[in-house]
Amino acid sequence: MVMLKLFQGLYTLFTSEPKIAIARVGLILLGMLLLYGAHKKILEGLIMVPMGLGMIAINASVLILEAGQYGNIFVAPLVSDPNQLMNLLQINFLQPIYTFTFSNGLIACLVFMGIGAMTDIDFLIAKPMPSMLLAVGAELGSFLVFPIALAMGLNPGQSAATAIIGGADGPMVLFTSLILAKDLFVPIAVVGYLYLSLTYGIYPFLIKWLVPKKLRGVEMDWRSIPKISRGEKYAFAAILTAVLCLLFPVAGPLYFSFFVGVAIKESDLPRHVQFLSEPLLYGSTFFLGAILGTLMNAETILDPKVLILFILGLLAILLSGVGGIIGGLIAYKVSKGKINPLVGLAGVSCVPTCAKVAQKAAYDANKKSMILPFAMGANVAGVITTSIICGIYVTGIPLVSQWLLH
Amino acid sequence: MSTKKKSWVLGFTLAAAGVILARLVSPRVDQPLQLVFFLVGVLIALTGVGVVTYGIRKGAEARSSYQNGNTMDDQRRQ
Repeated sequence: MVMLKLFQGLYTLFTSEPKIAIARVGLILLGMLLLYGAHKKILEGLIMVPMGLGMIAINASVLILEAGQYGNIFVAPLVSDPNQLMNLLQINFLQPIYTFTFSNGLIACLVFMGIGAMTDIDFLIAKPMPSMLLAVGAELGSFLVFPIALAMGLNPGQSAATAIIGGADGPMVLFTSLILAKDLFVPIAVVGYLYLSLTYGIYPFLIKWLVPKKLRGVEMDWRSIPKISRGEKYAFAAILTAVLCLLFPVAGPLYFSFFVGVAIKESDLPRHVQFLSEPLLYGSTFFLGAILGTLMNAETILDPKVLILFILGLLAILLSGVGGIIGGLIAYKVSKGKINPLVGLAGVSCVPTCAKVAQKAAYDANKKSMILPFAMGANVAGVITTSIICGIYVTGIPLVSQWLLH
Repeated sequence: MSTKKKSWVLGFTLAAAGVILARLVSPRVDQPLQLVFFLVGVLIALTGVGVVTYGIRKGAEARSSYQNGNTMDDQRRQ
């Protein structure tokens, strides 16, 4: 036993409760599976590599702390006492990043700034109605999963945070769960990001099942998009930020972050654009993955609600994909064949994955089909729609709960 | 006043009215109506943004048509 104590990772594995030990081994294996999926390009490597490795490390390196308690020197997410927190900031190596960027939603906002700086809102302004209608269709999961989650026993805040996975927008999932379901935000965020990275794998199959090859190859005339000036896009970003922040102040940081990226892009500041869209975005995504992975310890995963979250998350992402395709098929009919139905799927706001998936499927069906500019428009509309739904949930749930209590 | 300017004025007014309804009026009414006022306000404000977008699009269409050979007068006649 003394020898075993020298290797505390193994010692804590053999001496902890059986269900904790099994969960730790299971999570180490799951971490390896994520790494394998990222290596084989089935999963999004940018986030899955740090997340998978984080899961392996956190579950393997449990050690004996003061007073014989088991713990780790990575991060302690539940500590709120200022004195204890000050001590932990000097011990746990990821604690500063978690405390100063994660628990206040800053990292989600940094990712959003990067996305904003890469986003072109031309098509959204040129064709606002089709873009927004397609995006609303692609939010089917965000709407339908909310009552289903309530029926499965989650409280309104947890249900809304789970339903927003259907928006397929990582920062939004993180932000909503931090505000509405702080007790479940780790598993909700992990489930959310896991399924978001699976959109590359799931949606091509959904397209093949639901859209006939002839319709997938419909060509669209991208020269019909009028040229919107930089000044107009700049003014649009300013007005939309003001209106959305006035309506939903709780989601104000998200709106600011996204549109500051858009405004900087349209201000012709190439160094700022490069800073936001490269080091800031990729750095934030890296630490987001690493922190999410290290938060996935055995105690978190053993919450019985986690299984429900896995089922509801998958349902949300599938329903949104189906809703997007249905919206696309309706747009195809209404426009008398001028809109490729796959643009509807791009309304799911996972930027730019869904637009790329739609373009690839269109190209596979017809080598002349170039739908990316339209798909990106629907994609951006999806981001804005998801942020509006996020704002409605974050503002409305406390209002409704208050009303029901009265 | 051009369509673009009209859309900006109308859109801005609608957006401001929606915000006032959602943020200033709704908290002052009783509970069941509070939610209705809030949602209607949100809808009006977003419609205002939509009207502004319509104005921008019309302006852009007129510009691209002008660049393609039509004069602004031709545009208005059309």
